Amino acid sequence: MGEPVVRNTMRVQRAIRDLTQADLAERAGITRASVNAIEGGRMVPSIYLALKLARALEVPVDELFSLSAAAPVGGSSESGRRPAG
Amino acid sequence: MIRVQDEEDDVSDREVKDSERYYRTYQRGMVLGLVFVVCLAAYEVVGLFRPASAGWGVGGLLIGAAYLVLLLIVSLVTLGGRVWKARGPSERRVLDDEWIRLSRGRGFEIAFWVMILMQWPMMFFMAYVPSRPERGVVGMGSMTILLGLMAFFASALYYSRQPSDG
Repeated sequence: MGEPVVRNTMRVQRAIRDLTQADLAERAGITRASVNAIEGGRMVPSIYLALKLARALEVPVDELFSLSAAAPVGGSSESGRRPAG
Repeated sequence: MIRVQDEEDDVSDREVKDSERYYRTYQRGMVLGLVFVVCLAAYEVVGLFRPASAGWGVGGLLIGAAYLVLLLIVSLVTLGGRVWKARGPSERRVLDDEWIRLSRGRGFEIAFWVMILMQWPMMFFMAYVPSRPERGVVGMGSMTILLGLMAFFASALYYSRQPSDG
């Protein structure tokens, strides 16, 4: 059993709504760089940012981000990263 | 089938959004900052090894003036005629952005260690500075700052890069 990993479904949720990264960034009031980093699993957002993204995509935050005990597996549409600290 | 739109669509096929303009201005400003610091460091090294009688000249001021002019041009061109205001809402969105702050934090951390670790080789380097001893002291201080700034700009840019997701 590996370390807990934060997974997100942002890419999928964005695709369902036919939004570009820039569209989502504009809605959430952040930059496209942050959206790109979170989707790519290079950054785990703060609670504040996670809530802003959930609101922008109109989904519950736990549908967007979840904590998984398994290590990230390549080739999945979801992306994950261990929380910092 | 669900189609995922990536940044490729954003920049080429669609009108560039305001947030994107400000983000690009920030990134280009950082690149200019790196170039400016590298130029200053090169000027500093050349200055250190000039004959004892020669002064510092006005090269540093010219490099600084060129940097400010270029920064203004980049800002005006990228923002479509608008000027970067540090306290504006769009500017705050970029400066307070989590990913950018994270990249800057990593940049500061790396700059700190570069400044500490480079003291050792710089001591030997400054020993070869000819002429007046005060030049070595000034050189040591200014090179420490310039190396730190170089490390900061380079690493902040490196960490904030956006690899393609395919």
